[in-house]
Amino acid sequence: MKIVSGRLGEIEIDAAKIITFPDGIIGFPEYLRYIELEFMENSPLRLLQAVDAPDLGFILIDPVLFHPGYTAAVTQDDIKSLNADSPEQLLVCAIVTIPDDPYEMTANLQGPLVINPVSGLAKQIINHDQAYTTKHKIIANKPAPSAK
Amino acid sequence: MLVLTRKPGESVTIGDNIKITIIEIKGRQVRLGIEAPRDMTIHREEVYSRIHEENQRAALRKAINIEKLAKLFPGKISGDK
Repeated sequence: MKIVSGRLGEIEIDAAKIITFPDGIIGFPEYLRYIELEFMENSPLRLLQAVDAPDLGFILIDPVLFHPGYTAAVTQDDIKSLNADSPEQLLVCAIVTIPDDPYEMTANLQGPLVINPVSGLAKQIINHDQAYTTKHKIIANKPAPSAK
Repeated sequence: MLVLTRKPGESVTIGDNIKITIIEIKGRQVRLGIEAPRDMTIHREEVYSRIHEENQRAALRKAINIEKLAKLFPGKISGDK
């Protein structure tokens, strides 16, 4: 099916790959359908594009890339609501906030997205572990400005 | 906002299937028990607000500079937080 992405223009997507958030993403309850897109080569960042809103998207990253051992605190109710049987069937990713200086980009490890790739259902859960914040820095070292 | 005064052990019902009970009061803290349908999410308000706010900040509403982002990767991600 064709959708319009604010970033990529009109694109063709596989409707079978649409991810549905029955409760939407927190703060955006009216948009339930998204699709994950690659928008840069060799990049750990992916675009979660809202299928029904061309200008709405989120950048996602796998938290394990910069925070090994990260786990989302998924409950039995969460697992059931995604039509899964166990936490191992679920994918976890974090929404990235990119400020004006992209080196300062942060990942929301307190509110990860949990996706069941088989059922296509997903939700945003809240990690109550105090160790996780909504603003984890992704990039450790900004390169020194080059001398001109 | 509806404001009610309750003593420990007393409850408040909301609709047909939500009940909030004051379990105990210890110093300045109130222990609440909440009964609600399992598909309803219940969170401490300040945590929920923080997620809500961060989602708003993260949501792409206007074009992002892809070239700027492409320069940052690969090989530049920290191994720890």
